[in-house]
Amino acid sequence: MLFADRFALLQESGQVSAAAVDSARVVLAGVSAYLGRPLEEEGDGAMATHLVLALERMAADDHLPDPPDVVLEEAKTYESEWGAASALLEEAARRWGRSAPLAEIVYLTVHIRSRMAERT
Amino acid sequence: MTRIAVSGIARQEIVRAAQKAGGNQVTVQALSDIEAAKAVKEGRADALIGSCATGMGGALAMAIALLGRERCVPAATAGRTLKPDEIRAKVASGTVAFGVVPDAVDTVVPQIVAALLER
Repeated sequence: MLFADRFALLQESGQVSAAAVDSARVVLAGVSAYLGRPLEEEGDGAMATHLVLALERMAADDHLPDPPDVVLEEAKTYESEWGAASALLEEAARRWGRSAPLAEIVYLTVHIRSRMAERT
Repeated sequence: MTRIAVSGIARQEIVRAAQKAGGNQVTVQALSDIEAAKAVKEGRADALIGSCATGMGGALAMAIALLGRERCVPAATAGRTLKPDEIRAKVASGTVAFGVVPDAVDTVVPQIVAALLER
């Protein structure tokens, strides 16, 4: 299974829970659908790590600081990626009865944009 | 020769900054986050500089998993950048993995390299 070793390392080191991993797989399936291609360990592993950590934070209601304005403004220009990131994270957050924090939407947007850009 | 493994979203920028700072005293290799952590664990690299948007999670997660949290430090996050003497102290105490945000690369990577070369 894709990212299995990566997620196992993160779980074994206590950084993420099984619930976060389960949620990450759902979100990553959505990212794959958005990108229109299967994800790969080599190029998408860092995004997978970021995402599972983000979901662990969301489950724990642990919030990152607001992103720097320059990062926020850049992310906002990626309207399609922002829409995808928002939808996927809001769906995941509902599992824990929360809303997706702005910082998490911003950073996932940037990751998705980066993955889009590398393929073109 | 100090061998530095580099990973994350700003790895190419970190490679350039580290090579500029270390000259012929360092070798710098861009790797995936897992491969960079494995390189340090297996003795093929002396240190790792990872990067992600926060300087913490994605930059260091695999290093924490493979090397142990006590050997990792977020050197530059959105909220704070370690001072040179703090970086030197971390290196002296055995820290081998450093997390940085992209915006701090040009400031903090030379300081990390300098501290590693002073060991």
